[in-house]
Amino acid sequence: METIKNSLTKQKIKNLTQGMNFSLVIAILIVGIVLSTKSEFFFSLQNFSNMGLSASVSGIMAAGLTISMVMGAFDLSQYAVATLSSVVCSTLLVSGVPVWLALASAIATGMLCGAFNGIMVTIFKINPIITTLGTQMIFRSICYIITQSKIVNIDQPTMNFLGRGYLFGLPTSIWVLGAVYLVLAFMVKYSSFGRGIYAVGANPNASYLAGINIKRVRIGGLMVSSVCASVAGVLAACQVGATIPSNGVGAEMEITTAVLLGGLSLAGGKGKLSGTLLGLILLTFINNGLTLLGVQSYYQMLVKGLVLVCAVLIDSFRGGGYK
Amino acid sequence: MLLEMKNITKQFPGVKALDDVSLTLDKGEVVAICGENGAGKSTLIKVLSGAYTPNNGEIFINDKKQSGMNPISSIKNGIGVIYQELNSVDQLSVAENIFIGNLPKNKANMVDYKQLKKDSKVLLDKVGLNVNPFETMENLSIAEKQLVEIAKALTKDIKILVMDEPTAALNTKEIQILFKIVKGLLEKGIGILYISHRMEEIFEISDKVCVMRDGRMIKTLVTKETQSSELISLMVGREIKDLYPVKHEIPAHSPIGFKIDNVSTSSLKNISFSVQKGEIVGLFGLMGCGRTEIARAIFGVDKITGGTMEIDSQKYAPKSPSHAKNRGVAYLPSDRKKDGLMLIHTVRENATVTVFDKIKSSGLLNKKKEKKLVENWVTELGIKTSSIETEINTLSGGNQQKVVLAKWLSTDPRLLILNEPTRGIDVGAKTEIYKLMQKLCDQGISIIMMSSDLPEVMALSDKIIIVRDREVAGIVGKNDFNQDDILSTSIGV
Repeated sequence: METIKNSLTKQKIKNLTQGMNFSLVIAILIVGIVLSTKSEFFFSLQNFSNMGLSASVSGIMAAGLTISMVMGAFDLSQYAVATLSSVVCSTLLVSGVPVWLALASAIATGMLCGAFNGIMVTIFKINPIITTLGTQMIFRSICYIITQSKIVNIDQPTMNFLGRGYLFGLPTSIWVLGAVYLVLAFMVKYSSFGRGIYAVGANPNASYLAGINIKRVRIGGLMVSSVCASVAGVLAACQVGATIPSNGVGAEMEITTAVLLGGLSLAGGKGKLSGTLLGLILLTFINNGLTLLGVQSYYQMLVKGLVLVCAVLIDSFRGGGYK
Repeated sequence: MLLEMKNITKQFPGVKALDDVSLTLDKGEVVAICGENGAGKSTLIKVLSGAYTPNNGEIFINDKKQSGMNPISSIKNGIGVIYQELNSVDQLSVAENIFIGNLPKNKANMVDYKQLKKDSKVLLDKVGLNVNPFETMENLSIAEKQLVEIAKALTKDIKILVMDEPTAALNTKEIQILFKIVKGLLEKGIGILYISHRMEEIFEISDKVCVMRDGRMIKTLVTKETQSSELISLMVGREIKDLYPVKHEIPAHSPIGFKIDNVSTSSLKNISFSVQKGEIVGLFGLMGCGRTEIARAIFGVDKITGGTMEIDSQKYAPKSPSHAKNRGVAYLPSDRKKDGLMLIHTVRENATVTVFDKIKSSGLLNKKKEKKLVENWVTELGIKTSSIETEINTLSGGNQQKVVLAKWLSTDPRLLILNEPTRGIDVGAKTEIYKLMQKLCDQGISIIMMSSDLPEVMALSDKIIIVRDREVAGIVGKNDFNQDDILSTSIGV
């Protein structure tokens, strides 16, 4: 009896330490403690609010990307969709459309872009990476065409509140981030669609033969990713007070890094929103800390690269390696 | 002695694939290995080629004991294997495939294409294949690829050649060419292990024949002194009584549960038969005869181009598996890992992937309900797992199969299609699955079972549909079951 109990606790400890989350939490704690001792400013409400502002935009996109990657589809078009949505939103605002309609149009833009990606992947059977690599250029180009590559300013109370306002002492953006994670976590846990995402990611063949409509799941998953991008895009524009048509060019990998740090399997079928959130926190801490410590930006990228490689190395040692 | 394998045992989780197997092969000799699917032939070959390490036993080559064999040392020892599944790299040329791993080099240490062309031409002539050496591999037919595989084996200095079902895709003429090559090799003193299902080939080419069954070497015979009937009875001759449950009679007026009438698809011709409620209909035929295609047509995977189907006397025209599922059809695929399971997911997730709607309460997935459902199946089917949250790929084949069954039984099917339900699982789990099938019949479910294991089909079915060349070649009622007749109808002699 004693031995059974013993082995059970051992198993529990093993489960706990085996999850990517455990090593992440440790990493976050270490980075946090080191930064607190090195910089007195790090552990302040002001600094955390700042970090929250920047993290909320990439965090919302990362949440969407987690869903599409668990489903087995890499979505490279997110930043382009984000910018296109905010271009649509701000252009409509400038032309005098009510704010609710402008926001709704931004979300609708995301849904359309996602549906387009999804149809290319399911009906025309084009690999998601190639699809989104292509549509990313198309969407980005539309941004430039609409704006003629000019910055569109946003000065509207609701938008300002979303981007720069505070609610119960925290930036509104952070509340939006929280809401997005709650909605997605609820979807993953309580809906057939959420379970379908994981099943299709793990084995599309078996899912199809189990009577899951995998086309619907795949289109839906890519739509979730795009709509998250829309929300993030509008939020980013609100924070800056303007839509910049070239926003996010070259930044795609930052979000992918957060998702991969969170322990998501590139093969699909595995990955948690909580992991992505932790990955995001770690990355934000490192970004913020390096800036606070005055590290030259050339070295910042080096550190982030090392962190990612090390994190994935741990995964590889545990048997999830590239074959 | 060229090759001696002594007391080889290979254990997989839950299955003893090889049990104390011994075998000898002399120079210039052909030893045929025959046995049913799953008898252990391929495992034995993989032990010899170094792909598997045996748990027990010794291998001697030229009377020298080999230890720690791996694929590279096995090639160095002169063992060449032509596998049943082709190993060609389709994007490369024929010549590159033949010399893969040892392409001829020029002085600059770059590939010498002239030499490559010349060398491969010689080998292609030897195997009687008339193609351009620089033709891309993917443009070849399966038979041609098979011949390229043989040419590939000839490039190495082989002493022992293993041929695993080499004629499966060849026609009569190509088989004759192959046999000519084989005879040429024998004169050079090469020993050949020849695995085949086809009796006539075994008798034409082999000197000795070894019969394997359930992972054991049953008997080794001199081919000349053996009859094919003797071989067949040795291959299948197990105590059927213990393995199979007593088949209950179907109630006399049991209505027709499923009917397929003149159905054609791109790969099927005019399939017709019917299944009563509580009846097990066995579909038997050789590899590639169209069994699986029939299942795919019924389950809405392949498009039906003609004919009709009925479930409980109502029209049934499935558009997709999900549609089929909603009409009460369940399909257990033959390739469990590829088509049946999400290997990286848990027992729980796999068992409920078909029934999200059944584990909901007020529109939301309910973990408690799900857990209860899965735990019920674990008890009822005797699934051996440490918990329902265990990853399914750690379970044995038999238990994995039970989970696939559970996910379909949860849908309350009216028609259950079982494609090779006992492939690669141990005898204990087999019997349990047979008993379960009987129980389902008693509940009035119609069952269609596909299997390449004839004794199994005969013991369980009320009626056997023999499939050959993508059409129904014969329908046999329970009272007329006869192994030889069924086998010969399925081969077409």
